[in-house]
Amino acid sequence: MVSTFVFKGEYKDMAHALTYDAKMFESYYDCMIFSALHGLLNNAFDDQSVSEGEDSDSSASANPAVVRSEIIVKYKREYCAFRRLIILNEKKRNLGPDERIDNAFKYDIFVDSNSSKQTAAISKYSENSKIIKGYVYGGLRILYEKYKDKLKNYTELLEAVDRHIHSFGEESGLIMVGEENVDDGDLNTL
Amino acid sequence: MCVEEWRRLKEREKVNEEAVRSYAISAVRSGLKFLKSQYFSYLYGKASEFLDELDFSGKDIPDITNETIYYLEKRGKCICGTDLTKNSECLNNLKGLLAFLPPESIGNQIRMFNNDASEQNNIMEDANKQYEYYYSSYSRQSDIQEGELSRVADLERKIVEKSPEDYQKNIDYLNARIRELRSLNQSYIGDLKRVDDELAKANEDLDQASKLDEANKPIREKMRYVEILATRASNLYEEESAKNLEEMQRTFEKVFSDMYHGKRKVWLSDKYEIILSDNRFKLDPSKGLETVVNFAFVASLLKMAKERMKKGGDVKAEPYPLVMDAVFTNTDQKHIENISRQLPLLTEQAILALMDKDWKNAKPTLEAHLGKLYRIVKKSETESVIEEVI
Repeated sequence: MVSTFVFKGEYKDMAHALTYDAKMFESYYDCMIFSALHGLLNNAFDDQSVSEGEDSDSSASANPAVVRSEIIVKYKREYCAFRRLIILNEKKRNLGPDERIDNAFKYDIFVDSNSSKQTAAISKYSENSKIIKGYVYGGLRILYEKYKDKLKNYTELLEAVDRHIHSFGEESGLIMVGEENVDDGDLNTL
Repeated sequence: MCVEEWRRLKEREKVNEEAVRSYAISAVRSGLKFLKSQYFSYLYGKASEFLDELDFSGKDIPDITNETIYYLEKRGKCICGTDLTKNSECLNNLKGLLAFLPPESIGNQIRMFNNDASEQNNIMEDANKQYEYYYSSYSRQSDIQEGELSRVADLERKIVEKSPEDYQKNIDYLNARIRELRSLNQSYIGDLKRVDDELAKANEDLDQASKLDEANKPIREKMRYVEILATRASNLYEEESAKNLEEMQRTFEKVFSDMYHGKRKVWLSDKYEIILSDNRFKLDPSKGLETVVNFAFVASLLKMAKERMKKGGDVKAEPYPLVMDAVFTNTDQKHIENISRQLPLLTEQAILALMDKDWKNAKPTLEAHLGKLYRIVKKSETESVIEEVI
């Protein structure tokens, strides 16, 4: 059931700008994972059926922004954990506790494309994938908005990332930030 | 000095810029990885809070594993006795239980999920360390770059602001340095002389020491023998050279006086240079006198050689003819007669090429000694023939 993830339309340009122009991410895979988590934490969800639109240039097929299924298989463990975290924490679908549990641990089973396990067919994997994609796009949009003015200046970019790290650490209570108090953070909804 | 440093720092600018950029990119990437690990940790925490509130008691079937189901399917008979090969609904119900049994049971998966959550803290810590490393590397490289850029700006200001007085000061400094180095050079030359003296003294000591050594005696005697031989040869050469010079000087003056009818004097220097004078001043010879002088010199050499051969000394050789071309050119009639008179006395045989006008003057004196006479007849610019006259 693992399938290739394709950034389309304006999201393709944003992913390209962050990953290849500014070199913020090593690959589209990193961009995808980070964007989805960022979208979830900021309640940023874009409905792809509405927002994908058309690719902004004719060379889209020649230069696609794609996360290939073999890359996902390569990072299988992280990817499974990532999906479960999204499914368990998302409130977009207003699922009840049992449904969220079953969805995360029973139906969203990672199965590679060669498997013939029947459980894959009956899972809600593709439904979950749509939700995840919505957060990828929503997160990517706000991430791009946050950094777009700093993409060409690596000093400003690094300073912005550093502020982002500190502010999230402070808000989430994961790290002690010290005396700095930066209002630049996430956690709007969770 | 300013310019040198400025040039060196300017050359490093691009390297510094690239290093800062490279560290910044690595810091951004590792920073976002660290942030991602924070996101994971935070979401694990939230998910754990949610899971802790739930009761999973009805989700798993205790003490049965998926192996049990696979065994019953293979056996074809359920625990209750139903024939599973004939009842597909029962078989499907049994297979449906697989989702609730280890290893894929929800309870088991939640345990694994919680383990992953604990491990996430380590992942976050590692990511933090990596980010700190790149960030501090970036800061350090930025400081270096900033320091060097600031230094370049200072140097540029100094270079531009330098007044003529500054340059004069620099020239004065360099001149003083030159004087200092020259003085040092003199001192080294003095040192060198002192070392040379010490070396000579050391050689002398070595000689003394070797004299005392019996083993060196035969070599020392041979060296002494060679030294005496060399000294004798050198003395003999000098004595003979002095004698030859004296004899040549005497002969040359005599031959010249026999050939020359004017008032000028001639003599040879120690280096066999011909010197003409009027008894008071050194003079340059005319073309005609130059011919007489050269002739006298050659004739003197021939005379001395002839006399040596007669004496039967060290000189042993056959008599060779004296061959001369245009020998009387620019020479007056009287000199031609004088030279012609001397020629038969000085040489065994002479071959002379003369013009008709000179032969006319020489003929009365030389005719009696004539062996053969030829005439060169010019037919054209490119052709001449030789005719035998006598």
